[in-house]
Amino acid sequence: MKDIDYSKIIKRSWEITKKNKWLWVVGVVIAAFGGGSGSGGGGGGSSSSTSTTLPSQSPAPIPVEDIKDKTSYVLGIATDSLQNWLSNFPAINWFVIGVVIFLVILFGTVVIWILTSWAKGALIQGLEDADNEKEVTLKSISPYGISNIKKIIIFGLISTGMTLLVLFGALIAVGLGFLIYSFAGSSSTILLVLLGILLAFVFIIIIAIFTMVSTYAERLMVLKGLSPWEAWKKGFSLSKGNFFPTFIMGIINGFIGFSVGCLGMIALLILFAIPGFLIIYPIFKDGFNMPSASQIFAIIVLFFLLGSINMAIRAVFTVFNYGNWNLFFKQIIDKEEKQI
Amino acid sequence: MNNIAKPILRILSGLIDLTLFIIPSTYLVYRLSYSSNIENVLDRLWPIIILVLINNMIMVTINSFFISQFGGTVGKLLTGTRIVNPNGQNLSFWRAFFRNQMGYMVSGAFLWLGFLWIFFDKEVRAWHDMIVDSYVVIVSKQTYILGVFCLIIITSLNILLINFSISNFKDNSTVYTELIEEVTKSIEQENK
Repeated sequence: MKDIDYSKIIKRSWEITKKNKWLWVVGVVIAAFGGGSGSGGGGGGSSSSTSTTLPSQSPAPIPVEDIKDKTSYVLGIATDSLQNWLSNFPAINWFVIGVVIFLVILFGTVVIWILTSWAKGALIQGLEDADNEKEVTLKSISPYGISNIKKIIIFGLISTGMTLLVLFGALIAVGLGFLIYSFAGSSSTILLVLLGILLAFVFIIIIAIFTMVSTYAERLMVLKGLSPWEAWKKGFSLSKGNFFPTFIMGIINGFIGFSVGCLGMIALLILFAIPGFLIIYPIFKDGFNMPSASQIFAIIVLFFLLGSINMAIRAVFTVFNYGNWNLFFKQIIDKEEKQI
Repeated sequence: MNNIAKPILRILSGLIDLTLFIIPSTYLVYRLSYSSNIENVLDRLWPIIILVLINNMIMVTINSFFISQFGGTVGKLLTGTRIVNPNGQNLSFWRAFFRNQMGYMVSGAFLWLGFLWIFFDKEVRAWHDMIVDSYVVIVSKQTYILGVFCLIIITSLNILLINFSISNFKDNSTVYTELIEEVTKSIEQENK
């Protein structure tokens, strides 16, 4: 554990992140389309001041029966037509809609899976090249991403399968607990509670190890050229052998991610609060006034900018996060090789 | 790489592709616009929803096929430009698919900066070009006139359809206004 210099890792990772801006592009992809290791924390919706004034202005609550009557009166014509239309809608059309929705979901899932796998491969290799002082561009790192898509997807399937197995095991354990309770009665309560706590603890440890396995395995596949299954096995043995250093690295990354997420969001909200207020205030001045087209446009632009800048911050952090893991991985592998 | 296409040509070809692919949507909206009752509206609305859902899939697949077989999308072919690899050959179907689906997603992920990159890059490459290592080159210098001509025709057709749709919606406005009036009346009554 003493061999791992965390401050050196963080410092070097930040240097690489600052210097190699092309990596941010790949970071944007991971931040936007998922793939884990994004910034933790952040978020937190802004509460509008109008929400506190609204209750005093809102009319007395309407009885539920009244709402029903009024709704059926208003929607009477529309619902009759809709019901009529739905009853005459051919079955083949329902089938077409079902197939289309299924295809769209399947297509979207596959595309995002391919894209994030590409981004992970490209980012891991790009960070390695950057650490070796090689020039990093989108053109130079993309081929690594493309050549590792298949491996990362297969690994994802293996990983998902393993997680499902653990979940299945946990469900069986819970079922067994209920069975024992129903046979043995209240005399077994304390024993079952203790066993439950132990099982929950084991479950958390297994999930933590699986997360570590993924972190190691992705790098083993991209940087060492291992097959997905070999990477899983090797990743598992590395996670077992280096549980605490990996756990500490995870905690550090999580803490930085949480801080960046929260501070970034607070800074952005402060930055956008003044223009936001200037746009929204006239709409709610002297009651609600219908916003003009330019006001609606300004609100949309503001939200779009807020989202984009937030994503850029998350992208930079994603690169930094992956950089930390890459450098940590390197130190662990060096340590393993020295031991051999 | 020689004969790199200028940004204006890329924008022209992109606009042709875009306007070409919205024709089915504008036609379906036009079809919807002359509905005279709610059943008719619903009958003509669901194909639009289906089209919106599958439009991207169809567009990417057709474009990838055209790029791999003929060297470019319809817009590129009409402007005398081609998408090629560093050896000057056509991209394979999957590489073209990667460029047009995943590459476009990367280019559009942050304020469409990846598309705008053609204005800053020496080789006029967008991010999706860098990702699959492709170039957009000119193969026929005069063909762009045909592209401009086609863009005018396709855009006019779209404008015509939209115009007809708006006027039809106005003619059949009673279907929508009656419903809106009923809803408004009810809200007013509720407020009183």
